[in-house]
This record gives sequence, structure tokens and C-alpha cells, in this order.
Amino acid sequence: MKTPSDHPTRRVRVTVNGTPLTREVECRKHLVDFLREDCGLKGSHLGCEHGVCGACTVKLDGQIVRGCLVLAAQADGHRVDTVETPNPSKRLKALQDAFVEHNALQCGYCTPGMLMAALELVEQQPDAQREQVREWMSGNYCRCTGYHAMVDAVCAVLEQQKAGRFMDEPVEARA
Amino acid sequence: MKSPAFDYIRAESPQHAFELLAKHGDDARVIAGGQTLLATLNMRLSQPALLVDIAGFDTWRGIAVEGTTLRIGALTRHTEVEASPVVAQHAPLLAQAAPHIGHRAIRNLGTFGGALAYADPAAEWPACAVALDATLVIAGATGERRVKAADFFQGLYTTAIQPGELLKSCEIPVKAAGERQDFSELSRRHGDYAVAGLAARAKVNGRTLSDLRLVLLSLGDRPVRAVKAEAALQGGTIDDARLVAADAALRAELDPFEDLTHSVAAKKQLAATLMRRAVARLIQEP
Amino acid sequence: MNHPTEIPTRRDLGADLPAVTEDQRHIGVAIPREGVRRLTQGRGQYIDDIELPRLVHVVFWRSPVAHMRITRIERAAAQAHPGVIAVVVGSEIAEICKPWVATLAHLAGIKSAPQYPMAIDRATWHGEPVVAIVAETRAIAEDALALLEV
Repeated sequence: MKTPSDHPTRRVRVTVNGTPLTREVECRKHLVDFLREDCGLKGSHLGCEHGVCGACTVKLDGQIVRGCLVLAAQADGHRVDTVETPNPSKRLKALQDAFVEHNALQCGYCTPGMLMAALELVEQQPDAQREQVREWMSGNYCRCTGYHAMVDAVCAVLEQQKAGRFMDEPVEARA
Repeated sequence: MKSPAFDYIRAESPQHAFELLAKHGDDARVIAGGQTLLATLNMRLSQPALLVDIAGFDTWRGIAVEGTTLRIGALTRHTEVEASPVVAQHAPLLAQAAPHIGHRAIRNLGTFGGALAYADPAAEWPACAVALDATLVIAGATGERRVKAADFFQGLYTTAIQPGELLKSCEIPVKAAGERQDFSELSRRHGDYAVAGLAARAKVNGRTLSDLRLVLLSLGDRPVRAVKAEAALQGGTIDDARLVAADAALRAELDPFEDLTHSVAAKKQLAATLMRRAVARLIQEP
Repeated sequence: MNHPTEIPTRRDLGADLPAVTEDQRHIGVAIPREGVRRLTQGRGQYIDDIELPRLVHVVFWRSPVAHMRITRIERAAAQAHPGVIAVVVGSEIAEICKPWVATLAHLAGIKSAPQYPMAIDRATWHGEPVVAIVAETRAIAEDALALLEV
């Protein structure tokens, strides 16, 4: 139920969670609104819309970005992955399990962004110690938990990785 | 909030970008990483009619050493600078500064050149560029020109880049033998804008410093080189007397604005603290 | 039914029921939380996720100062903006929505001044809503906000 827009639009082709999608969007639309409104994926959330809260964190070409600070138009021809992916990597699944096990979420609003940020840490900083995990995750805000349980969960997965749990799933090279 | 409406074009080449910028003038904005621009647009602080996306210029991205010059392309992402072994070896100041830039997700998209061109007084790269005597390569429709970092930063959000020009790359002299570099920053929380920061480098001989550069961020509308403090710290062994003199010189030459959270006196105190700690690290036994 | 005299005692229930502090089913046991896993998969439903037929969005022009007299509201341009459904001012809302009056149950006679949903004639706090713009999308409502003159 929308009056057609007079504003400039662009046809974008984005591979979202492994599925190529084509959509016509206003040039100004950012990636999170694109995912939520045009792709039916409500898992990425908006908290501040200026890049500080991290609730919108998604992966673009395998790297975490602030979805509110990327245009859908910039993602044209690229790959986006969210926690809703039907084929979660072993690392993502381990993080989801760890978050449940360590009670690292309450309302769950920040959780998708937290998981994406934690995933990149596990993939790119396998030797991270607790202090570095805290610093890395400080880009994502939580109003419920007080953060410690999340740090516990991420550290637990780092330990699992050190013990060889994800050996058969190599991390993709950064673009 | 939602951004006001604008059109979006991916420039196919630098020449194409120059044509678009010449045609649209003030109505157009360049987008590279977009980490500052899109936040500004989401808050409706700006109303461009057109965004010109230059992120596709692959030749403007990359890190390489040529002779004694480290060249960093303007479209290199902060994360790439942070992770580069070449940078760690030849300009460790940058490797130390990078983790202070926002958070990882911001660094994955934000560009080295974008931060230099935007020239936020609290940004890390401008102070580093001045401390390292870097040269900025500016490209325009008619060719390229080079500007020394000391001349490049001209005021609040103001650089030597003229309308229609783009920053192409940054050339940094590689770290010399006997030289040490040290970056430090104070902020209320990790990832916040710096309340005070210091990019320092010097030739270190025991407890003596020469060729010292002390460049502060968040202490003025552009990177501030503390020339009087530098002079006070050089010319002899670093001892208590020299440190006291340097502290006094620094507080006298600095002229910061107060901000929402810190008074002028507090800013000077923090700058002096950063200087004292940096000097201690520079002369530390390896 | 929760009055102390009405709660059944251990004797009422049968003396061989263990003390609640020894009940192994709950105390000291990690209880798994139902339905939490889907939140880790981005499948929670939050208010902003809800899409209903004919759902519209509202933004407010809010007073930028602590105290102001509202002398004129120019809303024709905002109303004409494509996708805008209505531009509503305080006096219009007051016709269909009675103001709040706060009272105190334990101090009869104490009551607040009537507080209307949106300011009428004057705004008395920084941020008080003065005009509401209803539109098909949030972006359109914010675009129309820029066309409003108060």
C-alpha cells in the first residue's frame, strides 16, 4: 500500500543469505531497511541509525558492517549474510548455542548484532583473550544483560575453536 | 531517522567522477566508505541531490612500499591498514592508531582517505599524517598535485582539497633506523571520539630524542603540532627537569576549545599526561 | 487467597511434602528458557517488526524550546506531499481525546493541570509534540516534516 515514489530509485541485485534477490529501492534506503522491508528479514534491528549501537550489524561480503551506514545501492552486486541464514556456519551455530547456554540474552534485541560481531572475532582473531573480546564487542550495546555472560559465551567458543572443533570449516579469505 | 532523498551513481573511473562533480557542484557528495557521510545523512544534517560512489577505483586502494616511501591508497579500508604487516613494519604509528577508530564494523568500510579528507579534529589519521611528515596526493580533472600534511589540514573540516578534487593516496616516509613511533588516545569509552590523542615519533638514542614530532588530536580544530614542547624535550637527556619544562611549554602553547565534557584546563592536563607517558615509552629500554 | 491465614500449611498438604527449599525441581537448577533459541536466529518479533494491513507511520514536530507560543502552523505543503495521509494539530486531537488529569488516591482534591496529547497555543517543554504527520512510510513522514512551518 504505497504511493509510487518520485525519488530516485535503483534496481539492486543482492545475494542475501545465499539467495540472489532483485529489488527496486529508493537510492537513499539503507541496507537494514532493505533487509527488513524488501527481503522480509526482520532479524537485523535498528537502535540508533547512526552507527553506534551495533544492533544493525550484518555481514557484507563476509565482513561485518553497520547496516544503517550502508546503502542498499552500495550492496548491489554484493553478498549479505545475517543470523537468519538457513545455513549457519559451525562457528555461528556454536555461538548461538553458547549464548543460550550462558544466558547471554534476555530480550534478544541486540543479539543478532552481537552474534555477527562475535562471529567475525572468532573467525579473524582466534587468539583473542577476554580483554580483547570485551574491546571488540564494545561496539554493540545491550540494555538487558550487563554483557559479562556474552563475553563468557564468546570466550567459550574461542576455546572450542582452539580445541579444534571447527577445523573442517576453514574461514573464507577476506575480500 | 531516515535520510532525505538523493540519487546515487557509481563513478566508473576517476575521470567520470570529476565530470560528475564538475557538473553537479555543491549538490553532489562523494561516498567512499560512507561511515561519516551516511550517519550525517541519517540525521538529516545534509541534503545532497546526488551521491557519487568512488569505492570501485581499485587502483586507489592498496598498501605498498616503493623505495623509502610507504604509499597507502585513499580507498584502503581502516581494517586493511590495521592488519597490514607492511604498515606494522614501516609506519607502526598507524598500526597503533587504527584500533582507536570507532569499532570493527566501522573500520571494515571506512577508508583511510575518507578520514583524511573529512579532517575531523578528533580523527586519528590526520594527526598521524602530520607526525609522519606525510604527503597527500590530490587528484583533479587536470592532473595530480602533492601537498605536505602540515599544509593539508587548514581548519575545522577544511583541507587543501578544492571542490571537484579527490584525495587519491598518501605517501609516508618509511620508519628510519633508530626511530620509534608511539600513538595514544584517551576517550571516555572505547570507540568514542578522542578527548585527547597524541601521535609521537622520534629518533631515540638512549635517553635522548631528536627529530621529535608531537602531534595532538582533539586539542584544536586541526592536528596541533606542539613545537615548543618538542624543542624542550630535545637537545639532551630526558630527565625530570626537562620533563617539567616540556610540560610547561606544552600547556602554554596549547589553545584548545572546551567541549561538552572537558574544560580547557582538563584538556591541557590530559595532553600533558599523554606526552609524559609517550616520552617514557619512547625512551624505554626495548 | 494469598492472605497468610489462607495459605495451606505443610500439615494441611501432608507432612511428607519436602520443604520448598529442598525441591530439586527448581532450586539450584539451571532451567532452560523456552523460546530463546529463535531469538539467536533473528526470529523474534518486536514491535517494529509487526506489519499490519494499512499500517501507517507518524512523526511529530516537537517544540525546540522549553516554552513557546504557537502563533501559526503552515501545513499545506506537508499535506500535499505524496504519501502523506494527514497532518494533525493539537486542537484537532483535543476534539477526540480528553486530556490527562493526574490525581492522587490518598490526597483527595490534588490534581494536575489538564495535559493534552499535543500542544495547543503554547508548548511548555522542550520536545512537546505540536504537529503530527501521518504517512505511508517513516521516510515520507520525515520528508513532509521538513515542509512544515510552525
